[in-house]
Amino acid sequence: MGIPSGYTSAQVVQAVPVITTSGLVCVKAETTFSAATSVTADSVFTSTYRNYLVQLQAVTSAGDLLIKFRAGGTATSTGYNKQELLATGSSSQFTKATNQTSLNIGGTGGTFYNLFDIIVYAPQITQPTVLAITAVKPVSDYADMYVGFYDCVQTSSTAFDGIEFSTAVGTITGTYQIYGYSKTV
Amino acid sequence: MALKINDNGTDRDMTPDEEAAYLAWAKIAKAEAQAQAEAAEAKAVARQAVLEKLGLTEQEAQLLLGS
Repeated sequence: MGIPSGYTSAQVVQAVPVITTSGLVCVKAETTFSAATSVTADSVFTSTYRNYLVQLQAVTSAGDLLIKFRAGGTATSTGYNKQELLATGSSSQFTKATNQTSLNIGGTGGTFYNLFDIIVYAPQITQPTVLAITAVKPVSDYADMYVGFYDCVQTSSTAFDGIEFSTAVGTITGTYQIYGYSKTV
Repeated sequence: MALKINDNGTDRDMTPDEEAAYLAWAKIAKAEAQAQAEAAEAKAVARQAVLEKLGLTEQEAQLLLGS
């Protein structure tokens, strides 16, 4: 396209790309932890976003990996329910647990990192908070793998602003990052 | 040796209060994990008993039931 009459090349207005809202917005940058008994992330859930994705890569030295919600810097240790499906090869295991002190998302002991996509639905709304967790659990030499699905509920009506990972035995090592799902176009 | 916490990205020792709270909760969490493991084991034993009653191997049961 030529330069319109009466203008110089320096005066031609360039097309400005329309900025669209990103689908996922990082609210907690990648955080690394090593040989910790517990890992806390406070002030990460706000009213800016309704739903969140927590990506966790972790390995425990011995025990199971456990999740709790936090509000104002304090963890809630009651009212966790879960329905679990764990499968490997042609074997599967279903586990229901109610009124637990945390959400147990299984053993991750050994040298192989377990990967978790944790969708947290509306933690800031004053009603029970729901989680949908997909887990990839490699074992041995990556020849075997467990597939884990966990549907969980924290039954209190507290508005949570944080999350905590821990183990009741040993320590955990890994990384996590947290994203908010954009709710505008 | 103090227990370690990663506090919003910073590694530090737990405070005495944090450690006491953690140890109290961990005891209950271990009991919960043990109960879940025992329930799964009991279910597996019950399943095996039924298979033996029916004269089926585990592999035959998987082919039949898909699990």
